[in-house]
Amino acid sequence: MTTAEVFEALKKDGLGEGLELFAGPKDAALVVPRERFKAVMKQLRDARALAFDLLILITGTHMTEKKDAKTQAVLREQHFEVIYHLRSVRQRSVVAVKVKLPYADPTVDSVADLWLAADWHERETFDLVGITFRGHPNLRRILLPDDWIGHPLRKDYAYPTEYRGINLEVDAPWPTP
Amino acid sequence: MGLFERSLPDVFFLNLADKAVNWGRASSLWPMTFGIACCAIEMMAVGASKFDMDRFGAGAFRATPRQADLMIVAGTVNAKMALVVKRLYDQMPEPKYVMAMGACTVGGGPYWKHGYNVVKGIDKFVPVDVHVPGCPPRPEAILEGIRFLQRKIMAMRVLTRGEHHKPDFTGVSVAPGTVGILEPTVRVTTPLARPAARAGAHA
Repeated sequence: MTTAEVFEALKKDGLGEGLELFAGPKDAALVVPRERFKAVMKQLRDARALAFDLLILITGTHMTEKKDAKTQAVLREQHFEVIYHLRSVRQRSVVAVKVKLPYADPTVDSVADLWLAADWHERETFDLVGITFRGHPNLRRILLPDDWIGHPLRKDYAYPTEYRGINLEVDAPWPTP
Repeated sequence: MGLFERSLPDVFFLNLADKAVNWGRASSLWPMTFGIACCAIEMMAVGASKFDMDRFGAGAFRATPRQADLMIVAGTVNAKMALVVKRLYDQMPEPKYVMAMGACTVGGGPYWKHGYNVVKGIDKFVPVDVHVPGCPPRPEAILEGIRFLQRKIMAMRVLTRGEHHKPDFTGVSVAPGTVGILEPTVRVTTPLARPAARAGAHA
């Protein structure tokens, strides 16, 4: 089942509003508006013809602003993208679902109640990229310490110079013994 | 000041006693069972039969910091882990020694520039006795590190010590182009300092 077929099936189910089919040179993805994201994901999992019962991975991306070199016109606003890869064991197919989130408010509905695997994946995306998943049962950092400041995989992340008295600067002088 | 009011024969006797104590400590270094990342695999190889760290009396890996003399920090230490390493170090009884094993613990290694979470060398939070560079170091390099640490322990003065417990490492200089184990110049600054030629003998 190709992504285009999944797209058609979703449109037939009445969830086509705002849905886009992104066709890249190598891969395809469904681009879902975040208001309808949860409904689309639920349909992808539950519809018998689709049956995407396995969440493979969640990716968070910080897309920076892109300007035209000559005219300085903004080609792409700074935003976040969250990409979900789903696998259907029954249909033997994989689909990528993409949500675009504004930089000022990177919030999306949690799918931890649909796939249990999403629990830790969403915590990791929250930890490193700073996406907030609404409705997540336990949204706190998973890799970095709880009192860490900032989200390291953002493009505008400022590297820490100190953590609890430990100097983390690149060119820190050696302490005298 | 040392343990006793010293006269010349006392000092002679205490020096001999020091040697005996140091010999005992250097010959039975008990490392802690403690590996953080890939360097630990190489550390296990040193403990196993082919390289056999027990030949140097340092093969009895203890499962608790309370029984260990030597902490071999084998692997990348990030900020979250550093607090644990510090706590383990604090739990070890004196005298205790630390070996920084591998590029990551010596100075951040491959994570030096872009490792937002990696401590650039464990000497930022614990005192290190011997640095063993390498990614990971060869087992022979670790054995060399152990041998260096043993020579360092033999230079310690327990009973005849003055104000300094360990040799003073301020003004440490390493010859440019040095490869393998870095051996800083030992400079003893106590009143009972050995002749300079002997103190720097292994520099």
